Formats: sequence, structure tokens, C-alpha cells
Amino acid sequence: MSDSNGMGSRQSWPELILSARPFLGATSRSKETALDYLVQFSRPENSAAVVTAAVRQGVGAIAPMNDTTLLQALDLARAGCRLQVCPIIPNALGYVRDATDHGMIGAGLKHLRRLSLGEMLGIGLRGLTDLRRIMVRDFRALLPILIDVEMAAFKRFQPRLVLLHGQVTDIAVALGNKEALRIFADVVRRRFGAEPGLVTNNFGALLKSLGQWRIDIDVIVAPFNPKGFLMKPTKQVCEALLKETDKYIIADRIETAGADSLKDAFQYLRGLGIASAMVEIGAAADVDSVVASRHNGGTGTSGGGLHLPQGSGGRVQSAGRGPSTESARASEG
Amino acid sequence: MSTRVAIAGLGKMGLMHSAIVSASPDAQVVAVVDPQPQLAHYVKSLGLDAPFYTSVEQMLERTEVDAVFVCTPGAAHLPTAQACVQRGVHVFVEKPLADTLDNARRMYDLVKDTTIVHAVGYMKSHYPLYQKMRALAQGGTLGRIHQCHCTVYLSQVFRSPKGWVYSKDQSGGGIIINSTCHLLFLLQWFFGHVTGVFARGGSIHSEVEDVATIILEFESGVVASIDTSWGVPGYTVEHTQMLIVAEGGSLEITDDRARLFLSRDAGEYQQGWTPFHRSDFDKAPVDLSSDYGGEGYCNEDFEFIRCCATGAEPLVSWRDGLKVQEIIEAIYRSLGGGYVRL
Repeated sequence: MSDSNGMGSRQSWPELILSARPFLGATSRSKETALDYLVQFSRPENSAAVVTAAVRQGVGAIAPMNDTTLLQALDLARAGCRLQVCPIIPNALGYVRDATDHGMIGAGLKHLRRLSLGEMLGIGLRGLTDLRRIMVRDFRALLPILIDVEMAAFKRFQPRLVLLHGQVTDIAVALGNKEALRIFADVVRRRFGAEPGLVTNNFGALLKSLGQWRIDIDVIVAPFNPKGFLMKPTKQVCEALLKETDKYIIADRIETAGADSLKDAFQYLRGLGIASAMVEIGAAADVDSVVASRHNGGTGTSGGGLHLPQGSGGRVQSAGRGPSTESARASEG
Repeated sequence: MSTRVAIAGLGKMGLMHSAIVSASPDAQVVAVVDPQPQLAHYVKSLGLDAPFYTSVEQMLERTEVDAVFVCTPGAAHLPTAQACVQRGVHVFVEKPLADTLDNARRMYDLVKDTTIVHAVGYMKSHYPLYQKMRALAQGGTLGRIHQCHCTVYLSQVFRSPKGWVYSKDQSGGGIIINSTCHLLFLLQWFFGHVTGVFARGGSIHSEVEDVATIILEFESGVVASIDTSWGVPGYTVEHTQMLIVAEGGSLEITDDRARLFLSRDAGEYQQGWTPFHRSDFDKAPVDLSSDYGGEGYCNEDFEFIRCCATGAEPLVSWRDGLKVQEIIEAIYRSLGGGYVRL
């Protein structure tokens, strides 16, 4: 949890985090599998069963997006197990779809209209006229409101980590929009008392920008897999940057459409010293094999610690790559 | 020297191309254009810190640009292209080339005898996976190709929709010209000249066609069937599938993966199944939309920027875009009649 100054403090995150992609009918597996998932997980109790089984086998958290059925599933699962929720906001696909119909501004207004009058007043808005005024004037003024709208669905889970969707992160970085990332981090820390994190498919560009902009965000979710899929700009560059960074890295897209076995994927992550990973699990029966792959190939150990790669110099903390220098300084202070 | 780029049309595709151009080490966005003046402050706060104009003509008068990315509704492609070409500016247009065949011809006439670099956004041709599969299909590995069964599905229209995409006056039509056109490009890129078209389809929720079933005949002897709809549940992003049936086996291709089956060894491939995945080939340095189009958009924009610097012809020129437009026009004629010969 961040401290009151908004500086990140020493943190570790679960070794296995359940990806919500299968529950939304999006998976790195085949389209046929995706459609099967979509049908299966249209009933929240089916998603809840997978989540509950995963948590009971040691999966430490789930990273959902703002989807009504999935949120119902999380409520059901929460009744049966302790569940750590790390939301990914916003639901970028929803915005893209709405932008097709309504344009960029119209899409934003559509989402904002979901706010109740009470919620609008709570964030200093008098109504839709105010919303439209802000929407057409300034994305930076709009961003805290969008975060509020998205987080309204997740407040009940009291998230410790809130992640910015990869498409938003990557477009912000490409356009040099450092204020967007700064505002996101600030709002997540101050208003929700959570640690901000960034999902990306452009690890190299993101690290470079965070360094140049001196933005204190310690958690990055990025693709790391043996084939180098979505490791941008290249697998070699990402691996080299990983050795130098003090950010806490959560590996994403660790399976490449079945091209790599999970055991190989976890072995690869272990070699890199990455202790946390997003995993796609589409059936309760699959939970055991995923957890076993982790132990056999392993990012972590059955004792919950991490085997440090040789030469890591102890930078890797109890369950992940270390905190940022800013965070370390704050802790030392 | 860095290529100076203007973006015309600031919808989702304009924003996407702005971000990719900004990520290129060889180009910079120097101007943005949209007819809605209220977008000016908004796009600036998104990080697009370039002068904003409400018309392309105004932008061209006041800003030195080498190239324009046209991301407007299809009906605005021709006038925007005319303004750019008059000033010798290179032009990339989002797909389709134009809203009508007549306008597409006029666009190609603008550039055909010039040194202007022109490209159209059929980005699937820039997927390394499709490039590999095209080489495989054309290289004789499969033997004689007989059929190609295709689907293009999208979960987008389930009630009366709003937006320029669903207006024939602004976009030129419905699912065929807006989404299926990607597949039409791929088919003629794989199999060559289309000689005949038969199509049936119509509207369910829109004023334009929401569904269609199409038969294409190719000079090469291949016959392709297409089922397409943007009202099918389960397809959050557009999903294209091609199943090529040939004398020596079959080849199934989607945006993410492909499966080759051979009844006997052929070239470097053994009898039986061979799987492929986009991760086998993707080398794009940037991916801003991994769920749809990621490496395609990046490769396409970076290639266009390189061509602007060197004068080379892009992979998909307006001549190629015109071929697709001829097929689209034939399909629309067939929807209201019978078999159409090209």
C-alpha cells in the first residue's frame, strides 16, 4: 500500500494473478476456445467456480475489467474465498466500440452518463452540462472523472493495485502524454489508497518514458514469454531492460497460443527473475495443472519465496523484482 | 530528415495513426485536422501537441507537410486527396480507397502519373502471418487451389446504429465496404483477378447492409465464398477466417494463426498438420492494439513513412485499392440483381 505521501512503499504482489481475458471471451488460445469461454462464462456462477478454485489452489489475485457479469462472478466468489482484486481500467474495448458509433467525445459521454446524480455531485459535477463542458475542453480534466466512473464498480473490493489498460498506457506513451500517467497514479493513490500499475505491450518505450518523465509508478505488467511475442521493441531489448530496471514486473501473455508449454514459460520467467505472472485459466479443472506448472517450471516455490537468479544482486525482493529507487529511498528514510 | 505528417480526421483511427507516427523515429505529427473545432483542446490534452485546423486546405496553406494520413469518413477521401495531391503531398488513406467506385477511379487518376507516394490502409497485408501464408498458397505447396471458404464476423450492430459508418452517403455502404473489404483485398492478393461476383444480403438494423453472402470467381479458377455480418455475437473484434481447399491439402488462416494440412510432403513441409502463429513472424517494434491489427498498423505506417523518404511504392497502393473497390462495386450491383462479370 502506498504511504500518505503518495510514494510507493516496498510491496510484493501475488505470484499468480488470474487474467480476466477468458471470462470476457478473449484468450490467447483459439477463436473456438474463446467462443466456448464466452458461452460458459455468460453465467457468473461458472466464472465464480473457476475463480474460487484458483484462489483455493494459491492463485493470489484476479485482474478484472469493468464487466457486469464478471463483477457478479467476483461477488459470488468473494463469498467463498479471500479474493484480491486488481482492476484493469478502463474497459478499453468498450470505449473503442462506442467510439465507432459516437465518436471520441460521444463515447466518453456515454460512459459518464452511467454516473448517478449523487456520484456526479461527489466528484464536483452539477450534471451532464458540466460533463460535456469538461469532455470537450480537456482530457486531463476528464481523466480523474473517468477513473472515478470505472472505480465505482470496484470500490467494494478495496483493491490494493489498480492497473491502467495497456492500450491507454501505450497510446499515452506514444503521444508523449506524461500528464495522463501522472494523473492516473495520483488519483489512484490519493482517492483510492491503492498502488498504481501500468499494463503495456511496449515495455521498452514505457520504461524509457517513465525514466525521462520521472513518474513514480513501480508496477508494470508486460508480455514476457519464451517466443518474445509482444515483447517490444524486441525480446532482446526487453530482457536487457529487465536486468536494469528496479520496477516490479508482472509477466503477461506468458503462453503464446499453446506454442510454449506453461512449464517452459515459468522456467523462462524464473530465469529472468520475474516472480509474478498473469495466467489464463478457463476451467476449474485446469487450475491444478497451471499451479503445478508454476511449481515445476517455477516463478516461485511452494514456500512462497523466490529463487533468485545468479547475479541478481539481491535486487529481487521477496516475490518480484524490486521497488523503485524512489520507493527504496522512502523506505530507508 | 524526419517525415512531417498531418493527420486528417481525429476519430479512433486518426488517433491510432497519430500515436504510431509519433512512435516512429523517422516521422513526426506536425498538424492535425478535424472539422469539429471543439476537438482542438481535447486532442492537445491527449498529447497531440500539433497545430489544429478545421480544414485540410487551411492546414496545407499554413503548415509544411510531407504526408497526410486521411482518416475521415470515406466520402471525404476524394476532396482531401485532391487538396493534398495539388500540393505534391504524399497521401495515406484509410480503407476503403473511397466511398464509390467512381470516386476511387478519380483518386487513382490524381496520382497515377505522378511521383506522389500513395497507400491505402488494407493493413492485413502488413501482417507477417498473412504474407507468409500468401507465399505458401502461391508457391505451389498446396497444389492446385480450388476453393476458399471465408467468414468475416463482428459483434457491432444489434439495433439501429448511429454514426457515419452506417450512412451510405458518408461511408459508401455497410459491412462489405467497411469491414469485409479487408478480406476482399486479401482474396485478390492471394488469388489474383476476380472475374465474376454473385451476392445476396441486406439490412437487419441499419440503412446499409448488415449481412451478406458472396461468391467470387477468379481468373485462376479459384472460387471463394464469403459469409459476413456485423451482427454476430461473440466477436468483440472483427474476426476473419479463410479456409483454402486445394488438391494437396488445406490451409486455414485467421489473423492470429494458421493451420496447414498436406496429404503428402511438399517442399519444406511434411505430410500432416503444421501450425503457425503470428508470434512466429511478428517483428514490429511497436504494438498499440494487440487485440486487433497491432503489428499490421505499425508495419503499414512505418512502411509508408519509409516510402515517403525514398519514393518507393508502398505494398498497397491506390491502384490496389481501386481493384478492391471494383469488387465492392460489383458485389453491391449483384446484391440488387444477379451475377456480375468484371
